[in-house]
Amino acid sequence: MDLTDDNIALSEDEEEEITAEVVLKTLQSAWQNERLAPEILPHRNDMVECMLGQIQHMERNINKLPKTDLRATIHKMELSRIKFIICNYLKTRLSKIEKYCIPILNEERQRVESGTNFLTPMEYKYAQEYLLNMENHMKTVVLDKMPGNMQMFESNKMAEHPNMQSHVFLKANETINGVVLEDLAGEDEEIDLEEGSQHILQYKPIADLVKNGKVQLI
Amino acid sequence: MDPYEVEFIGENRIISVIPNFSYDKIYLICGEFGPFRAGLPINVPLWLAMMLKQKQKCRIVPPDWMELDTLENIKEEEKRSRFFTKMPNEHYMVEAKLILGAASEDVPNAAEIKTIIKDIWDIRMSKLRTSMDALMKSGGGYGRLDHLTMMEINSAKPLLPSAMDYLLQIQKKAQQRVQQPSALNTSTFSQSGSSQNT
Amino acid sequence: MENSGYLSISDILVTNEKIPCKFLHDLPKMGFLDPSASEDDLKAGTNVEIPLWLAESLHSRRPPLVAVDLPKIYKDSYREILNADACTVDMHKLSQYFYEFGCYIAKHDIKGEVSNTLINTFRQRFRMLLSASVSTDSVGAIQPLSVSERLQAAAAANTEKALSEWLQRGDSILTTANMVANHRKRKRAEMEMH
Repeated sequence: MDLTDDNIALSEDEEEEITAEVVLKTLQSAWQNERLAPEILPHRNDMVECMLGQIQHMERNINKLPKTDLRATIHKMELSRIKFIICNYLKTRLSKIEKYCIPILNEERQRVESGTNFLTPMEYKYAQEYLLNMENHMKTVVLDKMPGNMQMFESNKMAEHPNMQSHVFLKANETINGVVLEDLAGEDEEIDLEEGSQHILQYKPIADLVKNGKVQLI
Repeated sequence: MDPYEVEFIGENRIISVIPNFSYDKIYLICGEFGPFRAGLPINVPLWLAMMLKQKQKCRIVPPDWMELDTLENIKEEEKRSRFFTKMPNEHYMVEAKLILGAASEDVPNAAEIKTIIKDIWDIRMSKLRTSMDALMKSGGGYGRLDHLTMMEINSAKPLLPSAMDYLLQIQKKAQQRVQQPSALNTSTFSQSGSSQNT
Repeated sequence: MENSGYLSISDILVTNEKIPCKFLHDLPKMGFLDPSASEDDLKAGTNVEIPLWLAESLHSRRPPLVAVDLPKIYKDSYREILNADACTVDMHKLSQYFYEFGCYIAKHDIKGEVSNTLINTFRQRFRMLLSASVSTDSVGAIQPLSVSERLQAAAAANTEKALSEWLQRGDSILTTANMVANHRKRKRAEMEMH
């Protein structure tokens, strides 16, 4: 009995067919990167939506099986594992959105204009409302009781930024030559990341490589 | 990350089991497995193997490397080498812990194997500490860590990355300010990227 | 230090550390700054230890009201000890905010050697953080560490604890016997490493 659509269309308007297995792998690597990167990464809502659809479909089919059926137990176990990844992935993103709300919103406004947004529409809305709530709360609790010249909510002073210079561990998915490590003394150094090699270095010079999948954070 | 999260990731590895039941192929999201034939070995993800084992539905086939001579060689090699040697797989410790924990009766010489894997782990962990120290002393800006498994890398967090972050901050804050007056000797220590602490 | 800034409590604590200053002008009614003086006015040439935040603002006036000296831990004699073997120094006793305070101090160091000492000291003392994270005598190992070093060592000890719990949990019935056996082996393995 086949509980999955082995080949599922990624979305209506995309021609590309992609297996559930590939979707899961992509999602797992997005989750791992999101957990380990200091900044928020471009969303993979396509993968999340696709997997949620798959889960729903699967759950309907499981319900048709007898409760004690071993296969039902196995499928449920797998679904729990996938749900964990999705929940943890989304929660990790939300906690970054809350923590770095102000800079994320500032950057996202420009990204929305150019169509390169990192947040999903829902996340974007959440970020805006979160900032608004924070501002209102700050006003009612503190600022309104201050002298007139100190009542401004200065969002740039409240802003917390991710430390883009924090050090991360990574594994190169393919060979990348000439990654430039900044040196404070001004002597920049170039290193090559061979396929499969592992390194610890500053996040900033490899941030783009994480986003385009050339390296995996570990 | 919590060790259990690393374990969770490691549980996707494929291992071989011998089921005591027969079933058709099962189509999981992570791939298709089966058909299951009682008494015949079949590959499944580690998490599924553990589940079947707990339900007494299978025997675990120990991975090739989980064998005394092989491990003895790995251990000798690990002791001899200055660098980290390549382990049988990226999640050897997760595999060992789960299989030896839940199915030690399926592994010949399980007790000895457990000890020797722990020895290998301890040698590597001690080497890791030595390498971390060497990395900080030689520059503290960059390091290469081939052949370290995810669980081992995870054990260096947050200490190593946060110490490297901290060092960078001291360098930025203290040295920038010195540079302000006149050109003074500032950088005897460059933040070198040449440390090869594999 | 990471969140050094106006609202950072740790930065407030750091900038409250005292620094030796020499007053360059007579200051009327400011005698209370010098605990050993009996007069109301503070005389030019008086040496007093004042908090860094005050020293910075007095120093940055034109003309400066004070000349700033290095606290003794950043001076030649201590720097020699630190550069020789930083691990022998009890930072908890001598300078709890050694690195953070030092970053402020570095700009008053015309020879530019303080910053090198800070960097060198942290690099050397990193092994104390390493051993504190695996030490069985965690109190003793953490004792000589500065505030920021203690935080890092504590985080490392948490990792170590989570890892050893993971290693032990779900083990078979042989656990106890094996742990004893392993313990001996572990010691041997460590000795072989060095």
